[in-house]
Amino acid sequence: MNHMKKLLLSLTLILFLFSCGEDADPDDDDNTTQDTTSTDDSRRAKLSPDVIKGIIESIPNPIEISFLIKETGLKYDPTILNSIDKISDYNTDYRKALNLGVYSTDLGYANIYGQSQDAINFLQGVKEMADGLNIGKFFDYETIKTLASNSDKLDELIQETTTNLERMNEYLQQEDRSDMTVLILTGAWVEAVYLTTSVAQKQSNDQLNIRIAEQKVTLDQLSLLLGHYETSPKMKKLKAELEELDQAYKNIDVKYEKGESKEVIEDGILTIQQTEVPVINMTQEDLDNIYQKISDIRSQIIS
Amino acid sequence: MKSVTKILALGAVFTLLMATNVQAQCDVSAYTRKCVQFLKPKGFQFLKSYKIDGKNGNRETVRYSYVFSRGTTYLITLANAEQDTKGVKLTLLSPSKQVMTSSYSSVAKKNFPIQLKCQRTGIYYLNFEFDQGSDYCAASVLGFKR
Repeated sequence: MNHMKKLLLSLTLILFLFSCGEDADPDDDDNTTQDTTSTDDSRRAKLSPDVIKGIIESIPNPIEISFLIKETGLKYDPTILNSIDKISDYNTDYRKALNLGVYSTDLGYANIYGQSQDAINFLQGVKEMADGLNIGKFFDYETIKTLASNSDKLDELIQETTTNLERMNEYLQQEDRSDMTVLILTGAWVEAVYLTTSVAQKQSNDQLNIRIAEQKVTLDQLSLLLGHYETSPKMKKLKAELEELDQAYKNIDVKYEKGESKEVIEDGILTIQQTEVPVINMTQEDLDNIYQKISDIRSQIIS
Repeated sequence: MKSVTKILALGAVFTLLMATNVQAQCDVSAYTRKCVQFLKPKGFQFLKSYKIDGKNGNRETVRYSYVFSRGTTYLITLANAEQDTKGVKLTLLSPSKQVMTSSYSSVAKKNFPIQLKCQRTGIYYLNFEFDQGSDYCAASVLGFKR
């Protein structure tokens, strides 16, 4: 009988240890593949953390738009950027996260134009918002400030800033605070589209207009993310605002005439040259509607 | 004596089970730096970095996606501990999830960085696949230029 007890105890211990092993990595619910990109309808009702992470990863870096604006030859315009005097007004996590995104886009814009003092001001804005969200430790303020003061360090500056923001978002997701990441990305994107439309309103430019039309892709991704947090009234309202913006896109039609992709290995790089030609149907009224709605959303975020 | 044997046996089982649960960490910081160093001489600006963690073989494929924009050229670099990044390859998929190309050339028997001169805005997919027996840890960096 004593032997039987010991045997049962041993078996129980072994089973317990095996069960611990299986649960060691909850991410591994899929045997061999981590697909963080699937957003098909069957998963829309409730997105898994991996799917949320995947959509978050897909959102483009707003720095691309700032480069595009500068490339058009338009001058730096500080009047379209957010004011750092409002920092103390952003007193909830919701507002801090959104404006962390806004300031990070403004920081990128000022950096690209080599506006050191403005960049340092926006850097302060990003830092204070990050500190308020308890993620300031991931933002190396002193290093970025030194780089921002040095006009020939633009590459390093953008890399350091982007990497710091990546670390913050990674940490927020680890801490089950992906909602904050979604707000940061939304704030950054709204500011980027606002800057593009503001510039395009002052001086129409085909490249900018096309980029504005193509923002529908990212708008859909952000709406999907915000939809996951609709139990929060603020997130629900923000999603409703983006849905109204989506309405401003309803008459815009972006199609592509098919073309064969060419592939060549040259200078140690495999290059794919797409030859598709976009056909975009968009009127000035469509652009005006987008500008008005994005200005309205942005105004609510920064006020 | 029998009790001691049982305790030792249980200890051995426990140690074995614990050892299988302890997995080597995938630290990609050196690989990321290697990728970044490739960008600047080619005129590309850093955009995003990816950690490709195969969880010691529990994941053979890691997929990311990104919205590529028309009129922009993107460069995707890949690095791991191996020469010519052996043991991992990148497959690029179009917005319709059609395979566009692979970083691995079966002719050259090595990986190449992928440059995409994008003419169609959409969500593209970066599919990283590990070979069996590799160290299941790599990094990738996405750069862009106008």
